[in-house]
Formats: sequence, C-alpha cells, structure tokens
Amino acid sequence: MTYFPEEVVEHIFDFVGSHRDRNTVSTVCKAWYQVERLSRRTVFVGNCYAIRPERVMARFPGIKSLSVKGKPHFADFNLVPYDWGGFALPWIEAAARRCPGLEELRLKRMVVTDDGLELLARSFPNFKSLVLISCEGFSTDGLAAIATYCRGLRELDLQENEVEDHGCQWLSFFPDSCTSLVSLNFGCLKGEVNGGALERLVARCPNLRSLKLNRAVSVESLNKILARASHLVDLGTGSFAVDHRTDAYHTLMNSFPKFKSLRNLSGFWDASPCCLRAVYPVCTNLTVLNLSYAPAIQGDDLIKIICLCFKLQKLWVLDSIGDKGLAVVASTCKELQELRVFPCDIYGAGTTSVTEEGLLAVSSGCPKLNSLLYFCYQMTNAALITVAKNCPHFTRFRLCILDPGKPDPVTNQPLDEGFGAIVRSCKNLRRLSLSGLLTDQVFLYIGMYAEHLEMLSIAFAGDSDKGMIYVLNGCKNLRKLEIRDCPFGDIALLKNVAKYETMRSLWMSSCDITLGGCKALAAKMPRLNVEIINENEETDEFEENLSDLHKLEKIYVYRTVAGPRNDAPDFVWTL
Amino acid sequence: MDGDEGSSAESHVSGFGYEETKLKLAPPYSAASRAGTEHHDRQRHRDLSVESPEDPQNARQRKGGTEGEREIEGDEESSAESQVSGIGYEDTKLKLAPPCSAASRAGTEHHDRKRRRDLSVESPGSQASRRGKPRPPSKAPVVGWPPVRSYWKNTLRSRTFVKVAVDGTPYLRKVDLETYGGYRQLLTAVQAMFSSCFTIDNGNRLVDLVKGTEYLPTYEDKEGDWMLIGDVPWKMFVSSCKRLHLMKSSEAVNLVVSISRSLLASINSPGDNDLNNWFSLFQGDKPKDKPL
Repeated sequence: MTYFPEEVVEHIFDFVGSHRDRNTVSTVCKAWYQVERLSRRTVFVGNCYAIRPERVMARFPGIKSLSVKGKPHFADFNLVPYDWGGFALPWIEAAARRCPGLEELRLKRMVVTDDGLELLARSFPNFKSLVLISCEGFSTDGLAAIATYCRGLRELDLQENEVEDHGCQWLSFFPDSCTSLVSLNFGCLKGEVNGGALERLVARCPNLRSLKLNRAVSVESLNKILARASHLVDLGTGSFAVDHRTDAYHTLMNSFPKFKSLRNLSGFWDASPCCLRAVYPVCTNLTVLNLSYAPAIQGDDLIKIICLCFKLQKLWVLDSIGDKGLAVVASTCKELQELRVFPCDIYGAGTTSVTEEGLLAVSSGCPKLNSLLYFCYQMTNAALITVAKNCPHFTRFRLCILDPGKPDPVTNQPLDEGFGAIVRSCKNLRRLSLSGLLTDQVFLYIGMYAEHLEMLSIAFAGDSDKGMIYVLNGCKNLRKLEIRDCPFGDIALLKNVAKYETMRSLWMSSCDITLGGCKALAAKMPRLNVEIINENEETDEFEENLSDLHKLEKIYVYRTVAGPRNDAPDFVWTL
Repeated sequence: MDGDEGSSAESHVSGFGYEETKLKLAPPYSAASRAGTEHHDRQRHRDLSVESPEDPQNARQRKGGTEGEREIEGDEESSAESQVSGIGYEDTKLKLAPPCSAASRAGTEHHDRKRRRDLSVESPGSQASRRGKPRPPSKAPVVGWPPVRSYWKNTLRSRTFVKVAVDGTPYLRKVDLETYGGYRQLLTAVQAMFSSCFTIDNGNRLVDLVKGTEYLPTYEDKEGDWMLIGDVPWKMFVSSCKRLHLMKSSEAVNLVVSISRSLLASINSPGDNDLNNWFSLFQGDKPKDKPL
C-alpha cells in the first residue's frame, strides 16, 4: 500500500472513523502518518494536560472539530479545588494561530473566560458549533461575543455550566441576519433572557431543531416561542409552571399536539402535575424524557406520563418515582436503553425512594437496557445477580448506594458477589461505579472478568492493597481509575507502574498514599505527571520538610508528553 | 426572582455608619454574636415584657421554656450580653432597621455544614478496623458524597415548597417560595389560590369582601414559632419559613396586640413599601408617613 498515491490512501482513511483507529493507522509508517495527520478533521484530547495545544495544532493543521476535557471527573463532586486548572484559553489561542478553519469546539470541565470566548468568536470565520459542558469562568458577556461575531453559528449548547449573569441582553446580540441556528441550549443560565429577542430569534431560524430554555423562561414566553417553532425535535421547557386558571395555561394545553417531530423533552423545573398534562399528546413519540429537575412531580403523576411513553429510549427521573413507578417503566418502555434515577433527598433517608425491587423490575422488563445510573438506599446480592442475568448488555453500570459501605440488608454480606455477577455477565461493560460494602474480592472479580472496562469509580471499598492490585493487573483496557476513601497504599500504587502509561489518569483521594510513594512513582515513570493536591495550608511552606511518610490527601496521576504543567496553582505540586 | 426587596431593604439600612448610629443599651459586639442576637430579636417580637437582669443560666432555661428555641452559633456571646443587661435587653433595644440579612445567618449555617462535612469524612483504616468499624450514621454528611453534580444539587435544593393553610377552608395548597421575588408576589399568588375566600384590598390587606372578615398572614419558622409575615427581609423569610397560615383576624387578636408599637415603628423603615403595607394590617390604618 505504500505504492498507492497519497490521494488514494487518504480516501481510504476517510472510512476510518474512530479516533482510536485513526491513531493506530498513523503509527504504521511515516507516509501514513503524514497522510493521516493532514486529512484528520476531528481531534479528541481526553486530558488537556497530556499534550500541549501547539503540538496538536501543528500536527493536525486541517482540523475542523476539537474536543478537550480538563478537570478530573471527581471535580463534579467538589473534590477538586476550584482553581486547580483546566484552562481553555491556551487551546483557543493555539487554534486561532494555526487552525483558522476550526468549526466546532467542545469543552468539558474546563475554565473558560469571556476573553477566551471573544477570541474564539473573532478567530474562526467558519465557526459553527460551541458545546460547553460543566465549565465555568465565563459570563453572559462571553455569550454576547459569540452571538455577535459567529456568523453562521449553528449550535450553542451550554450544559450544566456555572455562568455568571451579567444581564439578559446577550441574546439580542444575535444579528437579524443570523438565521442558521439549529441548536440552542441555555438551560444552565440562572438569569432572565430577553423574551422578545428570544422569540424573534426562534422565528427567524427555520432550521432550529433543538431548543432548551432556562428556568427563568415563563410559560407565557414559552407559548409564544412554541407558536413559531413547530419543527422542534428537542425541547427544554423552561419553568413550565403556571396557574391552571390562566389563559397561558389553556394555550399551553393546546400547544403540543402540533409537534409531530418532538422526540426529546427536558426542563420542567417548576412543573406541577396539571401543567405536565400539556405534554401528554407528544408522549407516544418521545425517545428521551428528562424529569430529573422536577421534584414537584410525584410518583403517581410520573406514572401517568410514563404510561404513555412506550417508545422511550432514555429516561432520567428522581427517585420519587419509587419501585412502583419503575414497574410501570418496565411494563411500558420496552425500547428503554438508558435509565438514570437521581436522589430527591440527599441529606437523609428518603420517604419515597427506590430499592432493588425497582431495578429488578426494569432489568426484566426492558431487554435493551444498557446504561444505568441508579441512586438507592439499599441493594442485595440476589438482585444484582438477577439483574446481571437479565441484562447482559450493560455498557455502563453505575450504582450508588447512598449510605457508604452498606452491606446487603438481607444477608448482611458485602456486595462482592452481586457486582461480580455484573462483570462476569456483561462482557461489554465499559464503565462501572461501585458502592456499598465491598471487600478485596470484588476487585478480584473485576480484574478477572472486566476485560473491556475503561472507567472504574471506587469509594469506601476494599480491605487492602490487594484490591487495587487486582484491578491494575487485570483490566486490560482500563483508562480511568478514580478512587476515594479506600485503604490502598504505596504498595498498590507502585506494584504496576507501567500500567499508568496505558491509562489516561488515576485519581486517589483519602487513601493511604504517602509522599514517599509518589516520589518513587515519579522517579520511575518520567512520562507521568504525579500531581499532589495539597489544600492543607500549614504544609504549604514546609514542602521540603515533609517526611516521606506524610500521607497525601489527593493525588492525580496522568500520562503526558507535555511535561509538568506551567499553570499549576500553589497547592498543586508536580513531582 | 432573587429577593429584590430583601436586599434593597437591608442595603438601605445597613449603609455606612449605620451600625454606629444604632441605639443600643449595651456595648457594641461582634458580628457573630450579632447574628445570634438578631435571631433572638425575632423571637422576642411577641414578648413585650421588660425583664430585670437575670442570671444567664436561668435566662437560657427560660428562653428554652417559652420559646423552644434551639442553640445556634452566637448564642454564647448573646447570653454574655444578657448577663450584662438581662434577658429583656433584646426587647428594649431600639433599632432603626429590620434584623440583619439572611446572608450572615446563611453564611454561618453554610460554614457549619461545611465544617461538619470535613470532620466526618470517613478515613480509611486498616483492614481490621475497617471490618469492625461501625458505619457512620447515614445522615452524617461526607465531602463529595453522594456523587451528584453540585450544579444539579444546587438546582434542586432551591426548592421551598411550603403548605398554605387558610382558616375556614378544608384543603391546603402548596407554594414554592423561591419562585416569588418578594412579599407582594407571594400575596398575589396566595390570593389567586384562594380567590373564593378573599381578595386584596387597597391597603394590601386580605379581606373577605362578602363577610367583611380580614385574614392575617402568618408563618411558622424553623424553630416552630408562629410569626407575622413581613417582619424580615424576603430572603431571610424564604430560608426560615416552613408553612403559611392565613388566620381570620378575630383569632389573631392576641398575636396583634402583643406587638409593641415602638417595635413596629422601628421596623417600618423608610422606602420599604412592602413591609409598611404588611404593618398596616394591624395598625388598622393605611400606611402612614414613615416615622424616621
């Protein structure tokens, strides 16, 4: 194949889609490396500190789409200090210099500033799509810049970001000539938006298919918007609360039947049961329903709506649905692939919540179920074993028993056997989160059976170093390992150091790792960044005097070709 | 939606030098204790009696007996003051403003929660100790547990559904206080819910035009005390209100009479129209010119 002209090779590579395949292809020989790098259009950087942005842009000058992830996953749960890092600006600057053809930028868990957004908006004339997930550091001023300068913008998707509210006018900055929007999601914004500007924007964008409003958008405003946007496929409803005796309510009730294409519904922040009735006419076509922001909708009303959703593929609800509601899901939603059940009351034992019964019902009723996130107060081995038998197709299985270290309430045993059954049965399992009382045994099972596991999250589990060692020695495809509050120490950390270069990252907090152990790891593996996150102010000044036996609160270890990072704050030491 | 009224009231009165000009019967004290005493002030609104200085030990017991209040941060400083000037100190204190904002109290509560969390993080032990270790009680908060996104947690936590009961009606309703910007909007919403019972008249009173009876809006706060709506800044009200009760005015007579006029006047701060309107309910008049 080395004798084929480059154009032919390039054409063949067009059919090589996935990042990993393309990465592999590029290592075959220099010629292929060259062809591949010049024809690559999409680049995914899983850890923004694994490589310098300039190197990425230099290698792939023709990229149109860039995705970058920043902070470790546990940052979602406040375990990573606020100013740890993950800055987007260097990436935007490097792309602006080298890759002006960029059309799409997706950032997750990064710090994005208004300056960065403005630079982005001004630097890429063909920019089409901005997706920010769990980011922070910017305000509505940055959004105004995007609206102003990104002619031809198709997608602005803001998911669960912390955005500072500097006023409602940013939407008005979309010029009248902007008619290209296909997807607009500002659900995470806390402040009001200019209702008139929003309505006019929706009216002049005939290709708009996805619109997700924030909580501040009232039903009156929603009604006006819905009147102009009957081709919507995906709707986030805004507050969805209105008194049932008003005109707005009656208009709402009559709005939905015309939405023949509507497939996804979310929002419902303040929805009451009688408002929820408005969407019954579209339920039969829904594939995605997210009611996890609607605590006012209790079990029985949830059941009423779910009864109608027999094409549902993805359902996110609060645990107020109860086992009874999950039984209805099981009997109605035969196409269900993903289920997420979130806890309503996270500070105490809930009045209504879900148990192993609900999960059992769904596992036996929904044959296509492959992705689960389930918060509950108890789980039994027997249930997990049955679930494993019913659903061998799980790719993502995340179970969170809210009381850390809780055993099987029936047998008082650890949940090793239950999770063991899951990993044995689900041969395609890629992501697993454990909870409940667990010994080293479960890690033995995971190491032995979870061949395709890529991400493992462990909390309050295990007895000794052996647990972690089983995992590191066993899971061939492990990419991300995150551990908190487990009795794993230096022996486990240092047992298989080469493993970490095959992984994206390792997070350990509140374990038994010492400074000496980390130093040893850093010495053996120069291509890892061994970061120690030390928030204890007393030890700041005495860094050199810390004994090697000093136990470390948080460490983050990741492979990198960029060396120690130059933007680390004071409390982060890279060994 | 963010409690405009509360914040404008407090910013108006908590201006520079305000604290210094406040008339007090005791030496100035720290911010922490101020948070505590403001809390006690609210308790004292209904208790007119001026007591002679008492032993702080007894004072605290007495407080516990009559008000059923809980110890909060700042208790110690405030009881030290009562040592100086007696339990009736709070009652006789002339103030130019409503009690201080919810921010300080919310701030201390937040710190409390944070401290509790940090202290109770379960540390991994040796094999032996882990096995035999009693599990922490399920309500002990742990940092970052349960693993839900803080964004989502914040979105859900801002729920303040409270029951609304109206004398003479068989059914209760529920309102989410967070959806209202202030007392006026709450009043309007409640009236809409119970439109068959009463309307809002020009003096912003809740009246049943047919029978001529008046309804007084009261609420139960976190300590279990029944308070008249409108005393405190809106945000503070939202964080402390557990349920609403609209009482027919004939039954509320005791409540009304027990509030001292001087306290009313002092709380009737300039520029805070909503609070004025509420107080017109039991002053029996239209809102007057502000006294100060």
